[in-house]
Amino acid sequence: MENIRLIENFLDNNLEGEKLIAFQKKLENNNDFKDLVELHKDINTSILDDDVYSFRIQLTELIQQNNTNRRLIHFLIPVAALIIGGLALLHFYGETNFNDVFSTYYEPYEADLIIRSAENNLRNLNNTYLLYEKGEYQEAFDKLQEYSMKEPGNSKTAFFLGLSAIELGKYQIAEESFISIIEGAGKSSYKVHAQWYLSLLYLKQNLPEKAKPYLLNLSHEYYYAQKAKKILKKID
Amino acid sequence: MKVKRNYTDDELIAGIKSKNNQIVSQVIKDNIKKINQLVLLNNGSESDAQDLFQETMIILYRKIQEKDFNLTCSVGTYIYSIAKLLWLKELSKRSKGKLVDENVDFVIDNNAEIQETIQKNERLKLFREKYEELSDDCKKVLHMFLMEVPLKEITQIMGYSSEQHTRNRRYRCKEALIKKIINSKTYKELGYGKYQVN
Repeated sequence: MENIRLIENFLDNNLEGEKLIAFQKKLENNNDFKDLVELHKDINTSILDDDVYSFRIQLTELIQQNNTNRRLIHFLIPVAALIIGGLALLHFYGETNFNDVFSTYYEPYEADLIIRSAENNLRNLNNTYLLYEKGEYQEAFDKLQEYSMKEPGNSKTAFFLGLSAIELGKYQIAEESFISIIEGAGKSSYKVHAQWYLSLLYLKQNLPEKAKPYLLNLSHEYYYAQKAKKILKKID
Repeated sequence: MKVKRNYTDDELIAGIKSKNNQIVSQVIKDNIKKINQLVLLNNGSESDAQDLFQETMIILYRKIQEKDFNLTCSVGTYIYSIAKLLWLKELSKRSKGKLVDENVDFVIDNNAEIQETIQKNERLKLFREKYEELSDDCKKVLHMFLMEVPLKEITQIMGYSSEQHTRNRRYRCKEALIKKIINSKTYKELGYGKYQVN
């Protein structure tokens, strides 16, 4: 694992001074080592290749649809004509209930917890997230409000506070929590999740136009791209 | 009711670039039959045809993202040329002989740049497949490090006991990924060389 540590530090630009010089010399003089570093680089590129990966998933779905459509067309043309006519009327007279869209797509967030912390504070915080996971939303909400006042910039606390607030119908608090994460400084993996749940929150309140910009952003994000695009179709 | 329209090549390229569902669906509809034929007439199965079509679209998507991408033929012709190059490569691996349709000219004068994208795609595809086989925790840790999420935050998000533990977890996950890759059948064809993970 020593090589891996060294190479990752190099690729992260964390090698300095003599260690960096020694590394660069090894790169120049050892072709096998050079290839190994290239391998690491390419692996890292593939991990961040979310854009192509999500396109791959999209293609699989669309190709499947195309194949299904081709088979259906041969057998269902008269029925399809009736269905299309009916759908056109429904589209003309009907209205999308975005609360239904919320119900279709909303799922409680699966907390990713490993309770190993020796520190009291972190253990207490993890226990609070567990409360959310167990469905004890009021207790989780109360404790998370306390924590968020003590540590205002903590994205994870704000995120779970927002989630608990949704479950309790406290939509304004939920909205404020998610927005604080989205507009907060620095990178946080919760920004993406906050945008998703904020979008759903707006849909719950039948405010699709407020959800739209976040969904448009999410349609380019790895985790939520497919779902965001489906919802955008309903909004458009 | 939506009206079918013929998209210009520029519209198709822009639509593929932005992963527009409607346009991508149209491109699939317009091109899949011809590529299926290419494969089925040349020692391939239906499943080969489906795989080939998907890889063709991926290569196209990668090319379109390049800064200096410049289409000098129709989108359909470009797609078919990519498919043909891919299938030729596959056939040479399987050593089943020449293509029936070999009289069709390559419209792209220099297909070296497409070959380069094909090779790059092959590597990234294999590495990504193996990455997806890792545990969710490993995927999250590796992804967050590469997204430059601060170490302190990764430690908090993952609930680890210390930042050193987080670093070690990262190296172990990377080690597991590399082992999966170098033990795979496809890896040797990629020409990186022989490695021991240490």
